[in-house]
Amino acid sequence: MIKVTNIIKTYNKKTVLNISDLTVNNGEIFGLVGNNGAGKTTLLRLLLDLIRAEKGEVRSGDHIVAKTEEWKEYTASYLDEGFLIDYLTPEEFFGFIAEEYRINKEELNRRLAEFSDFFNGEVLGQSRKYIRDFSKGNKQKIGIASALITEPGVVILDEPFNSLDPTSQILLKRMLSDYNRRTGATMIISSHDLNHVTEICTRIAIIEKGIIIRDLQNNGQAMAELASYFSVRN
Amino acid sequence: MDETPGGLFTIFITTMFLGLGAMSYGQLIFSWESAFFDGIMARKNDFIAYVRAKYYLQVLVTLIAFVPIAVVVTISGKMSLFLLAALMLFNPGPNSLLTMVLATLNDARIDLDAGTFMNYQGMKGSQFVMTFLFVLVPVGIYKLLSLAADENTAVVILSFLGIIFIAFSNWWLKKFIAGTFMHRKYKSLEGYRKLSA
Repeated sequence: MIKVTNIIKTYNKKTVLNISDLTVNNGEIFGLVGNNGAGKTTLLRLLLDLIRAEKGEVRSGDHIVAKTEEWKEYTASYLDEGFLIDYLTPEEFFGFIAEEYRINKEELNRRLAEFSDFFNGEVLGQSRKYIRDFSKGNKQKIGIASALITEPGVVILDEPFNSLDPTSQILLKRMLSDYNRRTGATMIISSHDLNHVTEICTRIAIIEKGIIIRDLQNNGQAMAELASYFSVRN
Repeated sequence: MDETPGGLFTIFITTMFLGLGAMSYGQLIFSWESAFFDGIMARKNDFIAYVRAKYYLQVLVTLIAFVPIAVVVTISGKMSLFLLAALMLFNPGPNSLLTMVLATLNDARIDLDAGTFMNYQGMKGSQFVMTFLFVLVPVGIYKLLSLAADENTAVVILSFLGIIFIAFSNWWLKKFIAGTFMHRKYKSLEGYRKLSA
């Protein structure tokens, strides 16, 4: 369970995030949608304790994320290319992650094998090709895989569908749903693609100017409500 | 300049060569990973081990610099080998540790993919001053002590200072370096995110 309480984040005296109470329950796939600059990435960074809020706290289970490290054991994330180590090859990078999380070599290879369709033969086994030389889409795939190979209980992804081709988007949706069903992991995914979000998320929140203005259970009605919210209003 | 054995200028230049490699690395100690820091901090990490590895690398660089300098010093006979060893010990001692403490305050981002030509990323004028000071301090201590007592005492005390710091390096790494970094983590991470160096 991830609980955000009375969070206020400001940049240059401008409030960019103001959330009084948000709880993401265990096992939920929580979709965060909003236009550019709405505060999606800011919220995700706060959940990972990468920025400090002026007020309030984020709890992951019993842990206050800003005060403890234990939540890092079961939380995996990919927000942007800053999460990759781009002078390594993908194999070296996955090996580095595996070492940090004490995953042995056979287990790592077994887990990576599950991504073979997603990687489409373009990621692994490219002799001495460094992450920085991969296309944006393949970097995105490496990042997402680096999060999922740790088999986390909490997954946090920022715009995971960006830069992916349609086939990969479909594969990713299937992978995320399967992972959630198999492990019961809590997932928080931001996106501005309403279709993807309504397809996989169990709950969807709309964020605007740092405030969560809608919080919907995805029960079939959500798409209509989302569409009416995002359609251009005169 | 002073051309007598153990002359101040000789000592100064020698100390500079001994410390330059470790210090150039140490001053930007965390900036080297600045482009990856969000990921490092969001993942499980052993920060003490990370800081310790950085310290050991500086010790190694100093030791590597020591070998050819010791050969030159022995052949030219311009300086006693004991003094050289004392100055060498001062580097992984107070110098590297203090450099690392100060480096925790440096939020400059370094983009490792940028070319090396005219690359002054992360460089600030204050760092050149700092390098100069770190060379000046051990030389100054030596000179003052050799005036106050004699040169042998100065060498012994200088070595002793270095050894004391090395002996307590773990404590420094934990308490001051990892501690200070964690204390101002958000500010550094914000600096590292800025693309322009």
